[in-house]
Amino acid sequence: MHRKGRKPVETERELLKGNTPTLVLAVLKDAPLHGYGIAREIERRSSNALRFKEGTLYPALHALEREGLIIGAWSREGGGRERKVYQITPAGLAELARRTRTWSEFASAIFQVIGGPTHEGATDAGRAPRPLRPDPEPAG
Amino acid sequence: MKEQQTPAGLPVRSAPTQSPPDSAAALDPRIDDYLDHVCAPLVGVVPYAQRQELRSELAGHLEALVCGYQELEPDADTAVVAALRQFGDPRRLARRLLRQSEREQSSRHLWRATLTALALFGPTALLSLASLFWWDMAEATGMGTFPMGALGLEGLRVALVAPLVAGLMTGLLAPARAALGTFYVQALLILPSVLLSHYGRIPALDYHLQCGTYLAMIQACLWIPVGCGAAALGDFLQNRRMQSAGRWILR
Repeated sequence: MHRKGRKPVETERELLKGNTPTLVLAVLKDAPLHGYGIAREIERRSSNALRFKEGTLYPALHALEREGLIIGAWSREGGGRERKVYQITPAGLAELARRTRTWSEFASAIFQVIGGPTHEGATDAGRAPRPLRPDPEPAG
Repeated sequence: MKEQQTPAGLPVRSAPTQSPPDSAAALDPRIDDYLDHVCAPLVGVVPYAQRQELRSELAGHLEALVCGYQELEPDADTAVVAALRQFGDPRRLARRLLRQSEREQSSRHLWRATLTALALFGPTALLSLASLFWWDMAEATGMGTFPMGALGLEGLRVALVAPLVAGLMTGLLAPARAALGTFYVQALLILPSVLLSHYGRIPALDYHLQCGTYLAMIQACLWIPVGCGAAALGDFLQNRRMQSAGRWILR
């Protein structure tokens, strides 16, 4: 487990907070997991880039459960302690597809504005910025 | 001896909620204290069974986190502190859980308030409509004075007083958000009155019924403000009663 690294800034934290349900659904799509497992899997998949206070996972998990997008069931593990394992539902899969589509469209639009990988002008770093409006026609 | 502190800077002390019996013995006191700080603000909002379930779930996660840290750091104390720090501020977590629970309760309360208002205002509207119809018929048949006209006037009085009673009852019976529930119901109940005002005719007398128009006007101008105001008053009185009666009762 990694524990050191750059502290996330407020914008990143807010961005992560808003997308926690999507991340949870994406992780649960592949296998049922308990809260600890979900946190580790998000860390693993993002190569430790997405880190959050793990307690904040639970409001998101419980909200998803109430909405019927995931279901939780208690099961006893090898160590003897009972764990609540969450599993995605068909409604959750549909919601994940919708959220993925929305996120892709949003990210694509942002990249188009700021110049990212999907934007043609992304590599023109040294070029002078284009004017926002076309130059006025010369008089006469 | 130095007092132990949680990573959030909170002194280790017992909070109102109790640990579940099966895990109390096994948990590190700092984890127990952390869980107390998460669960204590939820008392009175989240039911006991749900709080215990949440507590067990968080305890399992924290234990696994401690085990994970112990693989890197053999010192148990350091591992516990690191795990609690990784989990986040207990007060912030409690606030988020509380906010979520209140939001959920709020929508459930609105439904209940709307249904209560419908149960009270629906019959009231029908009664008022019947009274106004009676009055209208008295006008149409030329018996606009005593006794039918007098009965109709009594009905009109009922139509004027009814929203006050129904609104107050809604506020007292609904758990919360009675005024908004009452408003939704009033808006819904205006529709039949408007339809009746458009299509209500007695072909035999070639008379266009006015009762629907009267009721729609009464509902729009009187029932909505008076009903919603009375519902808000009932809600307020109910809250005051609950606060004074159940101050020491933990749900």
